[in-house]
Amino acid sequence: MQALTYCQQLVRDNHTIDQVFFYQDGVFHANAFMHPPSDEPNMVKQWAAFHEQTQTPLVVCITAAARRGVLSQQEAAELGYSAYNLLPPFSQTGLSEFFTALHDSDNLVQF
Amino acid sequence: MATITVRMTTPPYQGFIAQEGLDFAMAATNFGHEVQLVFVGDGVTQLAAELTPPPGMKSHAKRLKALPFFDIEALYCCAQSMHARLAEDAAMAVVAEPLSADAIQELLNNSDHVVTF
Repeated sequence: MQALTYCQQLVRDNHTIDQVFFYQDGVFHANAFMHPPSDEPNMVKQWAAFHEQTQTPLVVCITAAARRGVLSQQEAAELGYSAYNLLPPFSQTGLSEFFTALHDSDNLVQF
Repeated sequence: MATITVRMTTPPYQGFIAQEGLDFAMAATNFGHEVQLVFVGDGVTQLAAELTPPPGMKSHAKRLKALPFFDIEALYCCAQSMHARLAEDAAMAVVAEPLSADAIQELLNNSDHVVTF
């Protein structure tokens, strides 16, 4: 939630967010099966709304996600699972793309 | 090209935190960034020589020893954390330069990016 609030403030201040990268347990923000109690925020939906508003790429580390059971439709099919839970607007990459993109970024902020 | 300081703050086999920290560090140098590692707090226990890793887990000590092959040679640790967690004559897997808290802060200030695991 803090990360999202920070991102929203950055956008209000007219900064450009190159990407939001989800790593380690952060990949759970992309798990479409997350279903918190009704009085708690649903981060998956909140990030999707942020993407809708700003078109900021929401990128999930494919290895960290798979390790934690967050799979895209394609991966699930390849591995023979009947369900998948990583949906657009989240997309997947490896650390390679993250570090390539980092060359063109001024600031990295971690939550 | 950026200088990235990767801060390691957890013991070696607490979930995947330390392992993913090294994955991150090694991927960084693979894609043209400079990386230095700083072990602080419980993270200094990653530096101790291990006898055998827990069953099924990759040896963290072995991966630390292989870091020079990934162009990561700058390893630092918090002197105070070392003193609090490891015996004076404890066997170490790799050598990390002990730094004071101020020196670590300066290291972080001089980095382009700091990522904490």
